[in-house]
Amino acid sequence: MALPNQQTVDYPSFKLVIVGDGGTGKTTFVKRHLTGEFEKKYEPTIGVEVHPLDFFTNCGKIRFYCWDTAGQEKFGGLRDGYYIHGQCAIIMFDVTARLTYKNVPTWHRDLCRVCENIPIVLCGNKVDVKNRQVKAKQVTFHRKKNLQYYEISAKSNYNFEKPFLYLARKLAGDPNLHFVESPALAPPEVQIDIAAQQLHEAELIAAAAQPLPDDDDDAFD
Amino acid sequence: MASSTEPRHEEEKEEEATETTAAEDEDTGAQVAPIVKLQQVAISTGEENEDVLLDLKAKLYRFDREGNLWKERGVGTVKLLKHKESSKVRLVMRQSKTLKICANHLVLPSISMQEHAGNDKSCVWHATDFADGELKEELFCIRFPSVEIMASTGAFRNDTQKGALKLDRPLSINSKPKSSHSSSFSSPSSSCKSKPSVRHNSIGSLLGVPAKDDASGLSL
Amino acid sequence: MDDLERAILISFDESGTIDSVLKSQAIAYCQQIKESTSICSICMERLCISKIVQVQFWCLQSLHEVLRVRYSSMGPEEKSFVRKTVFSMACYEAMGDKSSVRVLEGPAFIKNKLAQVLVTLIYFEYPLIWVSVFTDYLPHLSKGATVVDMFCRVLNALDDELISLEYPRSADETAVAARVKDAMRQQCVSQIVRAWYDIISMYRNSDPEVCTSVLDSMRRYITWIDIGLIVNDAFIPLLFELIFSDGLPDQLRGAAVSCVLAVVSKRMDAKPKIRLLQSLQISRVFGLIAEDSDSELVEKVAALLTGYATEALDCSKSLNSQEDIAVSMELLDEVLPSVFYVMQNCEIDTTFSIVQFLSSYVATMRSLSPLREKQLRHVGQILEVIRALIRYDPSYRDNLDALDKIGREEEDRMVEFRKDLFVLLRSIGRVAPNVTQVFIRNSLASAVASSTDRNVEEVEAALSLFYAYGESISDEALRSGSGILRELVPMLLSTRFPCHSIRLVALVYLDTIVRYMKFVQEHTEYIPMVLAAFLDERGVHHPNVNVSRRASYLFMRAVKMLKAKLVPFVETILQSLQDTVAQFTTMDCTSKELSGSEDGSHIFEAIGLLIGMEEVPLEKQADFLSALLTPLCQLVEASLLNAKVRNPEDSCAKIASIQQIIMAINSLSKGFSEHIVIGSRPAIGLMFKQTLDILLQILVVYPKVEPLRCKVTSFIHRMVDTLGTSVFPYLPKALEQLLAESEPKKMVAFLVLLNQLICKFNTGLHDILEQVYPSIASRIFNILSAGGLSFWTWEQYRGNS
Repeated sequence: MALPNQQTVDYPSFKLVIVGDGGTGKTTFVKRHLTGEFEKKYEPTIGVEVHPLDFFTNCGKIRFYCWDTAGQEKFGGLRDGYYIHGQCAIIMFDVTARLTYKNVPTWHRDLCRVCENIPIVLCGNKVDVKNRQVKAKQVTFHRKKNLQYYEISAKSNYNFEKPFLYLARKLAGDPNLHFVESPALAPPEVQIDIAAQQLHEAELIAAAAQPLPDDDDDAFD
Repeated sequence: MASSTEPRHEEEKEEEATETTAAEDEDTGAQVAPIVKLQQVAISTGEENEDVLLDLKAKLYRFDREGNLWKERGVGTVKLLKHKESSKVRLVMRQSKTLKICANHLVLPSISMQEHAGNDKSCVWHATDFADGELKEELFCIRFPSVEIMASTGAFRNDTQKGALKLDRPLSINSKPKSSHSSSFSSPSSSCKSKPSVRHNSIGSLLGVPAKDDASGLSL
Repeated sequence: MDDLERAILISFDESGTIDSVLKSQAIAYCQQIKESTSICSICMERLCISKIVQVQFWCLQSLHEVLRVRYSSMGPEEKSFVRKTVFSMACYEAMGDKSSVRVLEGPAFIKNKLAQVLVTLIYFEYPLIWVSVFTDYLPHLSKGATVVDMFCRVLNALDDELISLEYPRSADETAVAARVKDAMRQQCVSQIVRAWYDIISMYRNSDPEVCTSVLDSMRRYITWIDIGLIVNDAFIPLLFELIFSDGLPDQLRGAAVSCVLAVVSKRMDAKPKIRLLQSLQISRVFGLIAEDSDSELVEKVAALLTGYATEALDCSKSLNSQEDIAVSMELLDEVLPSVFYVMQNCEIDTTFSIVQFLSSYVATMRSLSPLREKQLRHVGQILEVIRALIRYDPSYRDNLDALDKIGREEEDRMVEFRKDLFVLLRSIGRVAPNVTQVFIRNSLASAVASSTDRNVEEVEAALSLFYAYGESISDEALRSGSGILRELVPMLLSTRFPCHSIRLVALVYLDTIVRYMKFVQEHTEYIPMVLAAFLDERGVHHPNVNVSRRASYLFMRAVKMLKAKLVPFVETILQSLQDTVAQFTTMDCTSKELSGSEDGSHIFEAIGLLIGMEEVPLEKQADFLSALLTPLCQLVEASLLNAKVRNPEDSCAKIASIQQIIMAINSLSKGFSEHIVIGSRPAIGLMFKQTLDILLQILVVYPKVEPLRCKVTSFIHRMVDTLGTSVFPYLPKALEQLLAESEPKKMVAFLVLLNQLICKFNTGLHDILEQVYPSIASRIFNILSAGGLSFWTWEQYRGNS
């Protein structure tokens, strides 16, 4: 039985459900992985958005279909209906907002009602923020429920690969699975069109004058 | 979908109605049974037949034409790779940790690199990029951790040293010809932040400290 | 498939393949149906005919929503209809004709959703409107495992949705929960427990899975039902029978163990609790952990033992009578060895809670001193547990040594994991200092005695323990070398492990030496051993560059602490550092690993500290300094001479190497005080002045190379500190150069320098400032106006876009 409504690929794929209160950074986290961008604006997700996300591992390519669900109740859509046939999950909370951690058990319960026995990662997001309200020591829920916990920051990329790595290891039952370089295929030759090139250069000059989004941040890890 | 990746709700199980029950939710995580069996595969980076000319940490941005703004593409290592036989040079950048490709294109003579107007650690260029396995016209901007590193990179330096940037600076933004040092003030973020800091901190300390004892040498 | 079914399926589709207009139509259609007055009967009907799980789910979800939102406005007939239908489904009754679909034959998530709907009815109707929900359900359990399984799901849902304290609840919900619990206690709990007992007795061999479900539900209820219903001559023996039945699946046995844990953890007064603990005869389960080392069952038994020990400990704290306390301590003594055994021998995930327990156990010992013999033995065992747990797994040895991705991950994990254990170690050190000392000595001695490299992990663990132990020793004790230090520090210093080439071993070895340096300060006879450790291939000559650089830094710290005591050794030290010094200036500084404390320049700082001491006679000092400065300056001069004729790539490498040299000179100069340089030994001052002269040339030749400007500026900072007023002759030229080509951002660095000068010399700077001030001022105002202009144009640009 294939998951309903998914384009199939010829490598293993998993339905990943991402839940948690609104504004905890689920969409930003997924976007960060999809395009590399860091979206600061908050626009609540309506219902669900599904994005395929591929990773290369020493055991080949795998795909997560990320079901990025609405955190705000009023935009819930089918709510726990989206969890059907979920094979793994991420529960996200915001370490700068205590209430989002208090609601973690409820998200966990609703998830487990529909998906019994799936690997789940609990993520405390926004750990880059100085005034956090939920300290690492205060996070204990994962111990009670045998979840994996990661402190992450979609902004600084701290631990941002860990949730996927953990889930992949659990789904494959291989604790040594790790990410490897994806093959960099040789880019094909392209014809250079003088007119197009001039256009690009004009674009480039305009673009060079636009500020970078995070000019002050020099920390590369 | 490959049969090995089917979810665990197999039909026979459901009909027997003897599945593990809801209370088993308690032990998610540590004791979940794997649902696929994966074998080790041979790993190819695609870079095996190339020599590394350059290998640096950097942050890459792509220009979002719709929003008219730069968006982050990835933080990781950028490499210039020269093919051992064809001698073609390409730029490949990988995201750190996930090692996914965020840029992959040939370095052609037609590509000109220019310093970013507001950030002297960055430069911009246009390329037909193949990171996602299909050709796309992209405007990239790369930022290095420091001006020193940017200066020390042969490929990036050569073009900026030619001075292309300084001549090409768009008039719409810098309506007055600028002296060479003013480039770091043309981005809004740096101009907003560094200006007052120069005024208050440095001038303040310059004029303030000696005033306590003797300001004679410092009067304007 | 009809319209509603199609609409539901379409609205579930998120593949992006369905037209968005169609999808929003479908969603609107479903919403419209949901709002119709007959939604309840529509859902019930669907549930009887549709086999599509999405449709079934949607129907149950809609029912749940409708009940939650509209219950009070529903008519009595509709309520009665919903109640009857939902209950029938939950009891596996046939709805309508025989071919109709039965929800209980569907997948688990559909059954859970049905349970949620039933619990919503219980929320509104039990016990006032629908008093018989539980008593009516019980007779259906005889239908078989399907209904039993569903009954468990209902009980679990009741716990999750209403009773359990794990979830945030509103005041209303809390009130309803109290009402439901009270009614159940009065009306049906004993019947439910009886049913659990009967089901387990009946199905234990034929259907262990359903028994597991029953036990898992039961565990949730033990916290609030009358404990006497479980703790009696029938149920407890049944639970232990299950636990000891080899033939049963681990899940079932584990579920029984978890029930016993729930009994043990039940909140009650200490006195009855201690009787309860006694009655369980916990020693029965000890044998189970020896059978296996990493099964689910062992995990559960480990949790039970820890829980039991925690309760016994808590009782001992809150009991008053000596007799009772003695009983609780006996129980604790009985269970502890098994807890230790589990931690040392089993791979389990409950380590965290065990460490927590051990910490609180050790904490209570503080008030018990002196410790009884048995307790001292336990403390010794806890130390053994710590040693076992902090050991790396040998399978990571290569990864850790190469520090690849896996190695890094493992090292990070271990550092984190060790934190709590080292805290535990230190508190044991306070409670039982003698036992701890003996333990530390034995572990180090056995590491030293190990002759093969088979014991890499043991050696690393022993050194790490010794290091961690040092953190709990007072400065006084460190200096005097009280207790075992007098024996252990020399043992450490004289040891060269067969596995010393291993990165982790070498690093923790050096760190540990520095940790105990205060002892060497007072026992100078060990200085040659310290020097040997730092200078041979255990330290700066270690083949692993990570180690050798770290060694440079640690050696600098050691020099700072030993200072004048090193004077007799200066020549020897310099000799053995010759190659390291030479290497540094030829090193590729663009290499990525260069950062912070690991950049290797600390070796120059160490040398500077050594030769800059006043205790070194002037003549020697001058010789040493000149031997270092002369070649470095010559290198710079040679580079500057050829700067003009070089191609860009070449000059890039040159710039890098000049940068390195300035860093080296800078670090070197840190060891020389103003007092020496311009006070007592002007000859030394002259050498630095000459150096400054040469380095200032860099600004002339490479006016625009920022990294060089930056390094030269910090050297000027240093020279201002060291040379005092004799730096004045160099200032006008230096300031002029720095000012001439500095970018606006770099002006800040320039002003910082100026600030330093003004603070240090006050009016002394008068003449020079007068000379340079006009150009400074004009430069600054120039920049400020340019900045203002570009800010303004930017705003204008934004307005247009």
